[in-house]
Amino acid sequence: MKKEINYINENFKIMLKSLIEYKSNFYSALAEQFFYYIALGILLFVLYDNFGDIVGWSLKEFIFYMVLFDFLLIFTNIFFWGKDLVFDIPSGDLSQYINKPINPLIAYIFSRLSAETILQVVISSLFILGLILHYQISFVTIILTFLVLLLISFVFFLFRIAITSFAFKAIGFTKYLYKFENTFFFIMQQYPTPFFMKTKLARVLMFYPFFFIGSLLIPMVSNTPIWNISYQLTILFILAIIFLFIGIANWKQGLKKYEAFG
Amino acid sequence: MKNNKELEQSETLAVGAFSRSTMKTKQFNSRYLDFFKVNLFIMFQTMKEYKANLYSVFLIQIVFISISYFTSFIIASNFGQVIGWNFLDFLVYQVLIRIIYQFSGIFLWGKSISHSIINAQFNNHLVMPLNIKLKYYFNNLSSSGYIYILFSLCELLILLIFFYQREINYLILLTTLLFLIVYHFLIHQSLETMGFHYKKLDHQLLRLYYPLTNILSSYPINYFQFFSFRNLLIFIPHSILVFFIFPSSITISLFTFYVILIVVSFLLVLILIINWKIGLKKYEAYG
Repeated sequence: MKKEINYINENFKIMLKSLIEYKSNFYSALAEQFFYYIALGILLFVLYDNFGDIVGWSLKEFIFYMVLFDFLLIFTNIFFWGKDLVFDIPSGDLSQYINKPINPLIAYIFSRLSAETILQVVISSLFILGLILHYQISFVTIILTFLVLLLISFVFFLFRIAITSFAFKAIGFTKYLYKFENTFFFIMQQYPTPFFMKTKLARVLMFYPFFFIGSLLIPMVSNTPIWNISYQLTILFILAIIFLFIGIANWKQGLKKYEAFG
Repeated sequence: MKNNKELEQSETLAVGAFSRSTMKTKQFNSRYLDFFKVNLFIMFQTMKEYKANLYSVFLIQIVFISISYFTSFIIASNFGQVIGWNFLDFLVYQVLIRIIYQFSGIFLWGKSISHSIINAQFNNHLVMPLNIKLKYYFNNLSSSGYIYILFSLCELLILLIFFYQREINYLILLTTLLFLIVYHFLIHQSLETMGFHYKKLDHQLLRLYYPLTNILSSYPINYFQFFSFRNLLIFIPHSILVFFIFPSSITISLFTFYVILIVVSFLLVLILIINWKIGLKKYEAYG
């Protein structure tokens, strides 16, 4: 375990060094985030202006939804940006991670950490901090929200490991899964959770961790009643176990029959 | 006598030169035509060759259409009355948007100037005798885009013939669609060719353009009635489509709208030409 921790530590150092080294990437990440926030701002406007009354959310809730949504994505992107088993298996690039004594799954996930994304995470965190100060959110709420956000991030992290691990079984099938994932991501971003709460589909969408931002985190931030909190937390824990199991099983079986084509 | 002969000779020379030049033009045109034909042929062959890919495109499109119908239903049944649109308005709008993307996608998908400069793949296009720009666009045509568009066209026809009840002028619809395909292509390319000037600048600009188009796909411009910068959004293809085809209101006069549209299109063409010219002059492959 100590070796694994050292490996992760080294990779974090490399990431930070490359952030300082490649200045143009640094500015590029800044500009990208800036432009993306403009687009999010426009989405925020149209959602609040047209549907605020109907879904019962205030501007504060819409802002937090957008920012936390973005944070969840970019946080997990640190580990997944710029690498994809769909390409790394056929090209043979995966071979470089199958070395003793580090576990290949850990070696793969924690290598080549995205420096551009960590910068976006910092910007996003500062933004969240600004919002917390502006809306004067209590310390207890901050701690609780942070813990739940951590849990949702962890579930989403495992979800991505599980999805990419299907590349060991069938590359074409994995591409379908990506397409599904992208579509659900798009739906959840454009139509926040309350849009679906009155439909039967709400329970189906619960398999996707972004759902819980609107149903769990936002009511916590705004101190409004949370719909069935224990049920939601249980679902999150079950999802974590399922995704972890799928990810590990696929990696184990996949590595057994892995052949690099190169 | 001698003068006549000289005259005849010069006439023959002139006719010869003319026919040579027309022949050259014909050869020139036929070369482009041949190149385009070959690339179309490759696209169809790829489609035949990779059958799994072909079926997967079909399957993805079926799933995507179902999800799009579902989201359109949610928004139309809950919030359609806000802008006076019904479920079918949303469906037709979504299909038309898809057609615009997919048609230009045949020429655009799977290509990135920034990427091809960095990994030196752009060198493949710098070969005589054809124009580099045309070669870049006509090369590697997307077979997926072609299948998607067939799907969407069938979907549109079914919707318009059997279900859609609002009156539509088909000539205006066709003209608007053709214009918007070119218009979207111009916007995408004038942003992407910025990658010639500064590495990855195109990524940043497209990161603003595509999220905006995504928002406008879900929420048509009519939802932006009280948005201060609404006039900036009306020159995105989605909004232009709404103005010409669907019940909507324009905050500026129709004449001003047309004039600005022409000016914007002209500017986009100009930016595209300048970017390519400067870009090719100072191009260096990184590899």
